[in-house]
Order: sequence, then structure tokens, then C-alpha cells
Amino acid sequence: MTAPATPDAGATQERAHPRVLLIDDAPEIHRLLRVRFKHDEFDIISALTADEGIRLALAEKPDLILLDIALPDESEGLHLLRLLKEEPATSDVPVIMLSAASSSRHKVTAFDLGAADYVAKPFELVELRVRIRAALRVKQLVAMLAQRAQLDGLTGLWNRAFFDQRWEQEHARSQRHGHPLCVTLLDLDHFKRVNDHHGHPVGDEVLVAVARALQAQCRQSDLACRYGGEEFAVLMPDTNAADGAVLAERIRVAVSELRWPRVPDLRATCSLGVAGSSAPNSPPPAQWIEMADRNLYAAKRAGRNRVVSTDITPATAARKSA
Amino acid sequence: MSFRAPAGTLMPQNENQFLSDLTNDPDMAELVALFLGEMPERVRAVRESLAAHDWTALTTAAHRLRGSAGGHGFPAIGEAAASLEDALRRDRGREEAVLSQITSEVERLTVLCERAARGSER
Repeated sequence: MTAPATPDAGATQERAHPRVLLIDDAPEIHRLLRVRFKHDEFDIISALTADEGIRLALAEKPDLILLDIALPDESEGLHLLRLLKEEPATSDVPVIMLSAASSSRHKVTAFDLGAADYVAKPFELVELRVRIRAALRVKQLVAMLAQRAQLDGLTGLWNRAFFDQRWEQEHARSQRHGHPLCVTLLDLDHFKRVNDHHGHPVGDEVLVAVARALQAQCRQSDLACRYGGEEFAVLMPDTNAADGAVLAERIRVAVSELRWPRVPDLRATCSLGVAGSSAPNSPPPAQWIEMADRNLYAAKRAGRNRVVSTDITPATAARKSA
Repeated sequence: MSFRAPAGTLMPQNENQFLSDLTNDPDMAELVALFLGEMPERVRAVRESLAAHDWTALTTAAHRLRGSAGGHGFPAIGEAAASLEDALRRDRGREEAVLSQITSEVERLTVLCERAARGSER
């Protein structure tokens, strides 16, 4: 479940071709579809049994699954469909059922279980091809909409909701593996003055430029988001407090160097609060954000345009690593 | 033994399209040759399943042909296989009672398969 660090890099994970997992116990069907669809813009992955099908669905994360419902028995095909739809990792993958047209009872069951489409055997290859394309198109649109709901409309950064969700996940992951973790909150200094003196359109330009500077400084694994009005947050996995503070300082400098040709005298500065830990048994996720926020306001009180950082590595762990 | 006359046995529904694919695409020609080469083994398995009253194996064999024959240019085989599969599923559990019907469905299917296979040997 890794999302790209830079959301505008692409709505879905960019692969050369979408991949279609074919689960059918007849080897001749696999051979046939591979040859007949060799010029189509999707690649076929083959599974000849239900077990192989579920394994490949989890391991290969296909964009579409073609499932023969009579594999070798209807109940087994429908059981596999249920498993795929119940498993969180595969529940979003559309499934086209392939089967005998005569069993309308099974069609109803298949759609109730979440099948995207149903193609009767024997099928015309031209029909199967357009149904595959249609299902892939819908999948792509749904993925795009889902991602758009996680992006900030003005800056294109991840939004607060997405950040909160990823923060919990990254925190849990770092606890589990004992990896360092760091979070940084950034607030623009005197942003209200920018809006008051230059108007909101210029204020928006500043926010967009800061977002770009933020992304330019972040590494691939970092996750930058717009946290609120003129507040931003950066999640830095596998990063301790000291390294996080270095990155925060780079961000501070980059923001202070921003210029706007249409408003030559305009300058932006920001204050940053950092909280990081090098070991597990650190405080719960909410306390990290509170610590980063306290540091952010400490930076404001100390005169703005600066970084305040705290290493919250538990004392016991710090002693061990020392 | 009576069975329905196999209309249009060897000719696919979309004959021109298919023949042009066959001539233009060596992969496809190879695939059809492979499919036909496996035909005697398939026919033998189908006949043995019938003789052994192994209805599961017979249903699986019919289902496979149903899915693949049309795509290889033999829609009539696909239809015959579909008809056999549907009959087996419909009459599941009482196959012995409709044995003559199943037998004639199998006969119809295997004759089409054998003809297709013979055609490939020319």
C-alpha cells in the first residue's frame, strides 16, 4: 500500500500495461487469449487453479481478474470470487466471470458477490476484448476519483485526511519494525499579511509555490501534505529527529528563497516544528503531532523563520543505542 | 446411433476474419495446429469418461471445449460442448436416467472433434 510521494506524478501506479489475471483450469484458453490479445494494451497473468489464482491476485496485484466460474465446479468459482471480494488487498480489483450462460442463478449470485461483469462461454473474442477494456477503464476512473478525494485542490499535495490515515499506518509500521520516524509541521509566517496586502490570489500563489518547494526538498519516501490553511505537514519515514531537522532546515531555506516576478518585494518565511524518534516504544501517534505543534509555536515565539526540533526517542532506547 | 447433422462443422462463423488471422498470424496457425493435435487425446478422454460414468470429468472436458473451440475457429464444437455441459449440469445426480441423451450428445461432440482433427491431417 505505498502511494507515491508526489501525488501529481500520476493518479495510479504507472505500469507499462494494465495486467489481467486469468483464472481458468483450461490451458488452451490461456494459450488462446495470450495469442489473440498479444497486440492489446494489457498483459495476461495465468492461473490454472483457484489456489494459484488467489496467490497471484495477492502477489501480483492485477488490474482485472477473469475468473472461470466452473473451476472445476460452480461452487468453487463462486467461493473464490467471495474470497477475492472479502480480502481487502483484492476487493477493489474488478472481476469478470466467465461461464455457462444457462445458469442464471449463478449470474445473480456472482453479481451479488461483487462481480463487475459476466461473459458467457463460448464467448466471441471481440466481445471479451471490449468487456476487458471497459472494465479496465472503469477501474482507472475509480482509482483516479479515489485519489482525487485524497488531494488538496489548490496545491496538489495530499490532504489532511490522507495524511492522518498514513500517519497512523507509518507510526504502526515504525513501531513494529523498530525503524526511526519523524514528523514535521510547517506554518507560514504572517501569512494573513500577504492576503491583506496583496489579495487572496497572491496568497494562493504563495501557497502553491511553498507546496512546490516542499516537494522539491522532500525525498521519494517522504509524504508532504497541506495540513490546513497555511499549514503543511511532512511525514518522514525511516528518519530520526536529527535528520528530520536537517530536512526541515532545507525546507525553511527553500521557502525563504522563493520569489514572485509579479510581486518582486514579496517574501515568504515559515516556522517548523519537528518531532522524531529513533526507536520503538515511542509515544502514541497523536502525541507526536502535539510535540511537533508545540515546537512549531516555540519557533514562532523565538522570532519565526526557524526550526525547533525534539528527539522523542524513549530514554531507555536512547541509552541502549548510545 | 443417431445424432444431429453437424451443420457448418469446420467453418467458423466469422470465416473470413478467422482465415485471415490464420494466414497472417503464424502464432495463431501454430495454436490451431496444437489444438487439433490434442484432439485425439481429448476425444479418448471424453469417451472414457462416458464409459466410466465419470460425470465430473465429462463435465470438465465439455466445459473446456466450450470455452476454447470457438476461439480456435471451431464454433460448432463449442456449441456441441456447451449443449453437453448444460445437459450434464441440468441432470446432475440423475445421469443414469438420461444416459441415452448424454451418450448422443457425446457422440455428436466427438464426431465433430474427429472431423476437425482429420481435416488437419490433410
